[in-house]
Amino acid sequence: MRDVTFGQYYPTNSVIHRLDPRAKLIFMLLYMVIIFFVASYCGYALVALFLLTVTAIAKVPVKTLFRSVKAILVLMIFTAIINIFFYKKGEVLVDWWIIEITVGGIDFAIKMALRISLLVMGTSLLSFTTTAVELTDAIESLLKPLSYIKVPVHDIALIMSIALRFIPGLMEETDKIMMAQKARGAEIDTGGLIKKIKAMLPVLIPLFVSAIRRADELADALDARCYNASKHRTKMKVLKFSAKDAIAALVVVVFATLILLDNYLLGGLDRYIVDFVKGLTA
Amino acid sequence: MRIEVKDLSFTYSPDTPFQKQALSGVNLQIEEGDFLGILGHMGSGKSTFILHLNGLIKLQSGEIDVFDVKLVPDKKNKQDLRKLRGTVGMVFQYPEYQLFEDTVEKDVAFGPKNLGLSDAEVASRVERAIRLVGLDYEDVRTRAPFELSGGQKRRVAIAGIIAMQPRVLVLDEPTAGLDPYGKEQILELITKLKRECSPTVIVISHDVDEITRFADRIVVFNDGKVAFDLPMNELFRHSEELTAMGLEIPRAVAIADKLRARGIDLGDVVNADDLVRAVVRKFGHGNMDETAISKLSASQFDFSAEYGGTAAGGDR
Amino acid sequence: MAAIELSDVHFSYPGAEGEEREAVKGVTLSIDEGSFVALVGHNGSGKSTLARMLNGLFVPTRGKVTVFGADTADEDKIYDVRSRVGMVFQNPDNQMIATNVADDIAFGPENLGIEREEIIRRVDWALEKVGMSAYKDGTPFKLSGGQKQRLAIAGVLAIKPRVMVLDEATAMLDPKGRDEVMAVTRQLNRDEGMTVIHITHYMDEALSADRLIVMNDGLVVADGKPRDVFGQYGLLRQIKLGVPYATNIAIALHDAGLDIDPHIVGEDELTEAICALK
Repeated sequence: MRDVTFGQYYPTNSVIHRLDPRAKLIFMLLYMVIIFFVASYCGYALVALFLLTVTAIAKVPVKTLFRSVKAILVLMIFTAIINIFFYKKGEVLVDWWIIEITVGGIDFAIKMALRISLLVMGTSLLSFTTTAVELTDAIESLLKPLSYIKVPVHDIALIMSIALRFIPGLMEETDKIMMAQKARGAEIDTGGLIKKIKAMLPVLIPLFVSAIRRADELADALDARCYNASKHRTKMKVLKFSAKDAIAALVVVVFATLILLDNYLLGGLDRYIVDFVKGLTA
Repeated sequence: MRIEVKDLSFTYSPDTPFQKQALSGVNLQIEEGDFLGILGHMGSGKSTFILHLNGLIKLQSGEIDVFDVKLVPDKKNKQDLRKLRGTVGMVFQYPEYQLFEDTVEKDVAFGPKNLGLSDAEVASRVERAIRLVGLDYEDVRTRAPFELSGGQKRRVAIAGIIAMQPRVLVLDEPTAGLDPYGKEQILELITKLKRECSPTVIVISHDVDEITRFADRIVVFNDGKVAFDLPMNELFRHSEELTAMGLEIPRAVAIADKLRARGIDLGDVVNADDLVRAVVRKFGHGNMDETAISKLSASQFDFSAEYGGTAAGGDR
Repeated sequence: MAAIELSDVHFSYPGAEGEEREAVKGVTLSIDEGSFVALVGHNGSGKSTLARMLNGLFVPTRGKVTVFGADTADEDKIYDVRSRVGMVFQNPDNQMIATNVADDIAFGPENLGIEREEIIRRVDWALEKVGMSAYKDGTPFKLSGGQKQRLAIAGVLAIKPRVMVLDEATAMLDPKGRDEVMAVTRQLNRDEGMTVIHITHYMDEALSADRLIVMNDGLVVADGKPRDVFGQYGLLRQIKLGVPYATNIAIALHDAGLDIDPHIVGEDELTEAICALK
């Protein structure tokens, strides 16, 4: 049987797992913005340190965190190559035929790769520590103000949560149907693209039929449980912002300030270090 | 010719927090001609075991030999897999949910076509399979599977497997969700298929009253291991252990146990037919000879006249 | 007092002109409050269609269904009807809305706009009633079929209905799960005075009901105490339903010429009857 916590949830019940999902979502957005303000390698080191510390507190193995980058490795290498060849600034290192590689190009490529990988690891960390349902609840809660301008926030949230609720079931069903058709000799994962698509029909048609049947039954179940009965729907679960969320917020703000400080006040700490090292050697 | 499973172990999602060992060190031989019942509660490993017989799960450790097709870990052989799928026919739970073609005929032909048979051979197998499962070939061949009733759909799905002419037929909860009549029809059908098509039949069921109707031998899975492997009439001498594993005892056995406590010993009774025959043998005042007694049956419905012509209607 | 009344109820599934399929063909019934009613029939007999008319999911195409006096066809009263008649469906996986047990049970009362503290009380109460309090914070997926259906019952209980309809709620369960569900519903009937309408095709589940209604081809063909209805075993076999396990054996023994009453209904009665042969 497939596991219901699809996605990447890594259950350790750490303090990071127990933070208010709304807080985590906001921190994540802040983290994403902040990464684009990092100006120096020292800044990146700080981000990495921050990320690793949070990972350690969350009791998620670093190996698991790195695995998320592996998935986009090809994309990263491709971007890096493009950057090395097309970004030109500073001293020229290689100049051969039409290829010209500059110090600035390498610098930019490395920083870009760091940026992407830290971004991916950060979002992965959110999904390691927060279930999809918590995220839906968080989004519903954060979007609440929109309901005053007649956006059906609750319906949207219900659609999201039902989708989340049914995806594992449909995945399991896909598995079962696939096995059943393989047992009938279907070769689903061989051949070219067209052949593959054709070979998927024996899986897709029953899956589609099943999804409709499920939707039909679910609709009856929703109606039977008085869905839409009251305009003033209440909610049992209330997300609570607690002391640990406040502490976490403080940490995130300090972290963000350090990065901005590095960028705007110092213009990147690297320079000073380079100067200092040069001073020593001179 | 036999199925031989040696030291089979399997773990789901290894090296993750969700890691779960489903089978550990399973050894089992299934002889050609066996009518085997497999019992075990949810998560006992019985389904995982069955999936291995058809190569639907990648072998992790152990050896499987199915009628001379040998499977070992880390070996990929498409030829073997294809041969295996023609040898072992799998009827999954609610098999009607896998129907996808627009006519019954085409759907039943899907399996044999995948085996790479000639068009003529496919056509003749399709016709035979549809007739074997008790459907009116001329009537249903061009109909859409979705128009049929629940019981009929299930028989079309079974025909789709039968058309591959497997020597081993595996059925997982074949009567799930059917009404009493539909259940009886499918049970009749299984017995018929064993006789006329696939000499070796393996049935998984959690309904002991059902499985004791036909199996000769029962394998009980518990905690990823084979807990019992016995001829059916001997298995229920272990009633207490079976109950401790969370399994049910056939009602006929429970009644016979109650009677034994009251001083009436009926011998080994496993199903309703046995119970009726044993009681008549004991109290029948000799008005029936043994041949007549052995023909007694507790079957509720008579299928001798029309095998499955009228299926249970669709739900709702 | 009658909880639900049906008078000459018909229902046709829509289709092209002249191709409508009439599933219920004129049923008149009155269900007493507090009773445990078993409704049986083979697949396609119209019993599930009838069930869906008991809480207004379907409105009769002809005739009338009233729930505690409220007409199910009256759109203003539909939520009164639905909050009084709870319904548990066949497939345990397709009636759960949330990924967390407590949230799922809270869904009904949330829809009714009930206060938060009261919802929390009801969730705890409902879980206790079905014996699932230990699973409150878990996810429903890892539970057995029987446990899932007990949760579905809890989800319905939280609405505080007066009637509970189980629409083949045991059909997809194993024998153990069926027993669990039956035990819970019997207890609700006994302790809470809940009116239960249990739709099934397992005759053994109808044994302990107060009343057994048999449907065939859209009509009620037998209605009475289970023992009396099972006495008409010829009819029950003819309409492809069969009889309970012990009755079936008693009939076979009777037919074989033994002095056994074919109207026996329970395993204990059967044991006694066989002992009496000595």
